[in-house]
Amino acid sequence: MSSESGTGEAKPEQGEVKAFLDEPDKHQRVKEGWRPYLEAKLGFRNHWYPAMFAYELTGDEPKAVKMLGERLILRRVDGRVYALEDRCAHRRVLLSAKVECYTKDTITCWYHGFTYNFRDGKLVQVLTEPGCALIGKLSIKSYPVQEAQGLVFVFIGDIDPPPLQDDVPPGFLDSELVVTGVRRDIKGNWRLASENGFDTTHIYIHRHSKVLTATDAILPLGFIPQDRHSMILVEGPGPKGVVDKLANNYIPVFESGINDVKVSAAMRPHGQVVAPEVSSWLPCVLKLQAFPIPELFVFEWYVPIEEDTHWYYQVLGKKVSTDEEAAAFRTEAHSFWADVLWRGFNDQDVSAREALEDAYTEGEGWTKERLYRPDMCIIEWRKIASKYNRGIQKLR
Amino acid sequence: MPGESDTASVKAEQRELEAFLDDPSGHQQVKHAWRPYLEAKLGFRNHWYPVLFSHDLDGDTPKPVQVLGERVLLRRVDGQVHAVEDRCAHRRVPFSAKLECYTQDTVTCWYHGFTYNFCNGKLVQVLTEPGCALIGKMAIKTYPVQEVQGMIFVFVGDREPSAIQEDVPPGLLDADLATRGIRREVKSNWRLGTENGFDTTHIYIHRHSKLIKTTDALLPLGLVPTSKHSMDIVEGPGPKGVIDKLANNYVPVFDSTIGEVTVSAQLKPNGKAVASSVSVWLPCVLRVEGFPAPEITQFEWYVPIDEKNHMYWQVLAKKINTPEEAVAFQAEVDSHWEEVALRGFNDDDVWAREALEDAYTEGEGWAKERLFKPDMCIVEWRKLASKHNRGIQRLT
Repeated sequence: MSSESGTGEAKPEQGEVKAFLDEPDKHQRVKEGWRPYLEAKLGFRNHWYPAMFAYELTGDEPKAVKMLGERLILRRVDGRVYALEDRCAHRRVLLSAKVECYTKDTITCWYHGFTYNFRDGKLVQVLTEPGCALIGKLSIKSYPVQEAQGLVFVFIGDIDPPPLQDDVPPGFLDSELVVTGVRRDIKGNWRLASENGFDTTHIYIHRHSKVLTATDAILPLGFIPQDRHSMILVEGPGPKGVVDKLANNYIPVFESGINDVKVSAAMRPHGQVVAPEVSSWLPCVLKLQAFPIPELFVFEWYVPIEEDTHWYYQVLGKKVSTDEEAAAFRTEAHSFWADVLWRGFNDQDVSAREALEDAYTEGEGWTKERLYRPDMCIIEWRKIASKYNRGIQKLR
Repeated sequence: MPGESDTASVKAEQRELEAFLDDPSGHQQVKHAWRPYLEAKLGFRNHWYPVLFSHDLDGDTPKPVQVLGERVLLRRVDGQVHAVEDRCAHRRVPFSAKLECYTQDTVTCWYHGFTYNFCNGKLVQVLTEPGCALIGKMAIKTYPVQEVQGMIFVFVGDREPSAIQEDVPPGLLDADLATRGIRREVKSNWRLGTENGFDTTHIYIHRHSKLIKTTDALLPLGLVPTSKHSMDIVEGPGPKGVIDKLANNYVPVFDSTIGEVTVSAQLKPNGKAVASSVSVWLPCVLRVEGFPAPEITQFEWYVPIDEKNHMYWQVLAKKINTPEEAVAFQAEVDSHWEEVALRGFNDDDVWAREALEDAYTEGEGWAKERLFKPDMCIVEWRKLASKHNRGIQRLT
């Protein structure tokens, strides 16, 4: 499924990227390769995105969420989740401003009693004018929904939705994998979050983190690509992404010096270097193999909310054979890893993203950034995303 | 009044409007008839607006207000109220930032001591350069003022002011009327305030209100017009407005169903139908007759402060014969109606307007709304306001 792209045609372009990274001032035109990505402030249209966890919709209470600048309201009807535009067609008020559901498969607008079928969004009644001429003619947008691995995915777009498998990292839908996690809204454009997660030298900020003191994990100060083939470009069929084989194709840096002063990664006698592989996938999802410990996987989504905020999905996965193992893993995740990883470790990422948000707005990072060689993976991600996205999300 | 002007073109226009309300998607061009209204984000120029209650200007302390985006400073001089622009001609700072009045009929700018006559706005002294060459040559804008029914009205515009009777609902200036009310800021554009109040099916939101629960007032879920003649269009001479005779020309809806579920208005054995007639008048004022009780009339102004806020005036009025009756009525408003009606009922309206503000900005309501037949009165109001306003307020 993953194919190396070091073909004859690709080589000159790769050389240009390398030259760009060594001497960026002379090679601004390489940025043309990721222009669509620069436009995608609100994310990419026509993709599947997680909207919430399945456990957030246990009863039949509707729940609203904002994503890619759009307002949605979700509800479980006879066990199945449906998603509608969270605005009444009449005067555009939010249905979620005051939820009214008189039957299990309808939602009524609090303002004039416009009532929609939750399954298809069609207007079925108007309480203040029974038999209104608009019944059957008017509807609100209904979004395709798919529940998988405890997450509720929604397709944001207009085209016929491609299979969900094309928009999640390889392996995520494996039946022996059990996953669990949390989400929170974080300040910062979604692209800055994706890039921080995929960046192989940002781990410098984690050198004093709780994961490194509470487990045997060892993290170097950074991982440097051996050469321009260190990244694997996965161009489908199926998911599109960039894979960094950190354990094979990267050199870990454990020590650096500034004159007489040494800066070192935290080492310990029986420690084990973690995160042998990290990959970034369309539309906005990261996968970490064997992290924070060898038998676990990390999946992170950075779903755009608005231009300056994103939903941060922190998801852990583990291959299990029995329901008991699955239950034990969930307990472990929400007790131990919630503290050590989702807060202790990832809070450092959250702070970095918030700092990046200022850097790329007031600091004009998108035009003034000066990348260096280890950022090659970020450039490959920007190029893949620019090439394979199914549309730029725009409002109005 | 309706009827006389039923020419062929008016009939055609009316047919188009009805077709529009039944199937809005095919009839967008009808919206051209209210284009001026869409432009009037800050209200209409060259009209009279209430800015303060008389009791807000007790002594001679000046008081600042913002109206239609303009800053105005008011003060009582020898019992009569005067209004000037609340900005020094010199460096445009507001006087009200730090009020300085050395004499009963001047205001002095706190910054450089520019001193203006409060009655005509003329520069009469500059404390930091006595005898300054600008004295007598420079003036700040003054506004025409009238005090009626315990309210201070200001004419915002450039023309010779029209008679105040033309800018208030019929009956407000009657000598045998006693009034009492409150005012407060609401976070929505003024037009959304007006439309919510005039909307004959918005009363759906009031079905559980304190007024309905604790008095014998009876309110249906909505009121549906019986025909295209249900509204009276009043085109002067005198005030311009639209009247809905709810008790005569509208059908009340007390029950509706969604599938097998019935939704009903609260009925009570000796309930009294309230709000026999509701009307809306230029520039931005509503009159509800027989509300909150049969013998009372409620007046409401939605005076633009800026594009996103309006001052909500709630004034109750009653015909009286003696000064004692007036005092008794005012005491009744303070002790009973303020809690039950002006707060207990109208707080729901305030909430709805703030929800509409999001719906008409982020939700793009002005372009995307889909009106239904009972909104015909709103359409008539938009058309009337577009036709008879005396100018669109714009800040340069």
